[in-house]
Amino acid sequence: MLCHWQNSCHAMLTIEHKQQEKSESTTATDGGLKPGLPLHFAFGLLGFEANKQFELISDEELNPFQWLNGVDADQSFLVIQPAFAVENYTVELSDDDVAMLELQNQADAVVTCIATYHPDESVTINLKGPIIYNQKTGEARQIVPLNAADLSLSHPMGN
Amino acid sequence: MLVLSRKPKESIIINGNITVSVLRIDSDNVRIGIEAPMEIPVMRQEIYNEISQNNHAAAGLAKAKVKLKVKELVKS
Repeated sequence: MLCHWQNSCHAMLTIEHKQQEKSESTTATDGGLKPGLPLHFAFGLLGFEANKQFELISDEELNPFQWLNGVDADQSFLVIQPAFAVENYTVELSDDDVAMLELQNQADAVVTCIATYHPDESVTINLKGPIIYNQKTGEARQIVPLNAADLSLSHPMGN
Repeated sequence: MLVLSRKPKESIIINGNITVSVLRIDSDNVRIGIEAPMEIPVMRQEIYNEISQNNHAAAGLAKAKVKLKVKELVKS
C-alpha cells in the first residue's frame, strides 16, 4: 500500500536497480523492432513539458538501448537501463513521485536513463534525471531523485 | 516580476494552493519551504536547467548515425 511509504517519517522509495533478465526472446523479425510500450509523462520531460505521450521501443539491434519516441511530437530519445552502465545505482523517490507514478509495489517501477550522443561520437547517460515508469500503468516521470547531488548528468558509456 | 518583502516565518501564497515560506535567513543564505500539490513539480532551477539542456542535446539526433555508433558500443 502507498500509505505505508507516506506515513513513515522519511518515507521514500529507494530503487536499487537490478539488471533485468536479458532473456528476451528472439521472435521479432521485422528489423528487430517490437511493438512499443505506451508511456504517459504527465509533465513531459524537463524542457519538453508539452509532450506527454511516448512509446518505449525495443530494437534488437540496439539492445540494451531502447528508443523513447514521442507520439505527439517528432522526438526520439535513446535510453538505457542504468544497470547496463553503472553498478549500484540507486535513486530515491519522493512521496509525491511515488504517488504520481501510482506505484503500489516497488517491483512495478522501472528506471531508465536518457543517453546523449555527442558530436565527438561519445555517448553519455544521464543518471541525475532518470525516467521512472510504472510498468503496470505506463505512468512515467523524469524525476530529480532526492540523492541527485551524488549522481552524474553525463556518465560516459563504453569505450 | 512581482517583488515582495518577507521576514522569517512569513509566507507567500500562490494560486491558493502553493505556499512559499521563508524559514530562516543567514548572511547569504535563505532557507525556503515550499508546499505545493504533488502534481506541481518543484526543483532547484540550476538542476532543472542542466537536465533540460541535457534533454535538448539528447533529442533530435540523427537516428541512423546514432544507430551505427551504438551498435559499436553494444558489441564492445
